[in-house]
Amino acid sequence: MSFMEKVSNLDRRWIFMIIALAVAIPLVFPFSMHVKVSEHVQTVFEALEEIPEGATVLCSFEYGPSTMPEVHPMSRAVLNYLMQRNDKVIVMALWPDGLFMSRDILDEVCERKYGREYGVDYINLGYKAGNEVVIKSVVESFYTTYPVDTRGRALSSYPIMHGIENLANIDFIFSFSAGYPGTTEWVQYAADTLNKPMSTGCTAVQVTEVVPFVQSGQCMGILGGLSGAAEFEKLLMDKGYMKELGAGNRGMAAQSVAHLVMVLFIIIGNVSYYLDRRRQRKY
Amino acid sequence: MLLKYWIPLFILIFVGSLTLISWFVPHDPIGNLGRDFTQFFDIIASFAIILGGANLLKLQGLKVVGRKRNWPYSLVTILGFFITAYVGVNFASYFGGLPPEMNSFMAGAHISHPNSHFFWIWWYIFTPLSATMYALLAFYVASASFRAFRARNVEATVLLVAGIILMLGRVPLGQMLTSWLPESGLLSIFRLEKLSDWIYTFPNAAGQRAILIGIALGVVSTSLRLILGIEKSFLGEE
Repeated sequence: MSFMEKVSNLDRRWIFMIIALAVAIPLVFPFSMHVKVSEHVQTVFEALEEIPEGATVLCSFEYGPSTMPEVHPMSRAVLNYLMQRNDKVIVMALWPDGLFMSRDILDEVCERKYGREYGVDYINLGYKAGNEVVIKSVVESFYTTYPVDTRGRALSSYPIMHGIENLANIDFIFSFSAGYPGTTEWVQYAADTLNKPMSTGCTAVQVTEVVPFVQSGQCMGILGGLSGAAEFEKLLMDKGYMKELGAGNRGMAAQSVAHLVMVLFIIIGNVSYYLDRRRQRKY
Repeated sequence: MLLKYWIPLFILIFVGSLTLISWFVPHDPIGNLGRDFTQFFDIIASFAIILGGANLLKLQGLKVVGRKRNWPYSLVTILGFFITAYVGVNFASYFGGLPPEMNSFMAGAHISHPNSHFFWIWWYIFTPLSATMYALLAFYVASASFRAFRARNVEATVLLVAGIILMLGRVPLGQMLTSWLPESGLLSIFRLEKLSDWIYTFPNAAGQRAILIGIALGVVSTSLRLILGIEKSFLGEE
């Protein structure tokens, strides 16, 4: 059996092991990578910079544990930025898992890191079933959609909600999304109808679906996948909003090596396929 | 006939038409009705859990009762369902007793409290299981890309080249491969990050937009068929 035949018949357990090592080694022995800020990420930052400091921003969490490594670094970076600017943050979730994701980030960033007060500087409205209809409902009223917050108290009892009746009173919408319902629905049912500025941080596979809205200006920029998070972190550090890079940048080495290994697999697979086909033609 | 056919059909036509009209005529009473119907949907959507739960119990329960293949997994599913449901509806289900800031009548508030049993199940059982399942995809994608991602014809070759450019153009190590090209000028368009941005912004956006418009037209036509009473498959008709 020739070398190429051996390669084309490679046991898939070898492939699994190589991928495991390609991801694990850079995570265990991290090395820094030069992250270049893309135009889409720059647009997100500029859109957020345009709103006045102390503005009210709605952050919607539409992801769960499966996409947490990709989207969590983005939500952490964005919340860090908003807290630095003393913006008011209203959080809600269209996915049941989003409730727990938001709780984790709010506890870490707003409460422990910046010592912000719940109900004054930020509030978590929680999850509500109904997908895009929930978006349509908050366009009408927060109070009828969410009579109480995640702590079981009436929304009207919190200072942050004073003067906030519905989505029209919000200055900016930010969707952290990993699928349906998510960014697309926020554009279609809220940002576009109310002419509100919005941006998104979503998984890499979702970027293809969101790009048409970014291109048309309905969504202002996009943080796409872990690389989007890494770029946003770098941008925040360059602008003085962050002191050190976060999980996005720490994961870039592992993702880079894994992508490179995958591309090598594809190339090797195609070379062996080509040689095999040529040999078959010959005989 | 009346209960199973005419009443559901009337509700659909009435609610559908008024919700549609309220978009164009937001004034009361039509505007108010439209808002109420949206609230109705939120409430009805919450009831889907009953249907989902009943379906899960029926399917898994039949496997356990009939001792079908892998029935112990079904038993674990049923036990998991009941335990999670119990700590979910028990508002006083906390480690170390009820925290002072909570009371046992706070429906739902305990779910996201870090000391609650529900939060513990979610964070220490569901999260690692869900993340593990998703992480396994990386191994299957790698194996599949090695065996199936082949340049068999022109279309497959275009897909292959675009895929490789995107995979490399989105990560710093890939971007380094073409970092020797100038940052601006004619040659700069061949930098991998610029090529991947171009693929995202133009060919991809064009395709996605076509799909979006197609879906939108489909939704409009299906909705109109439902509202006008032409489409009756939801009533069990062929």
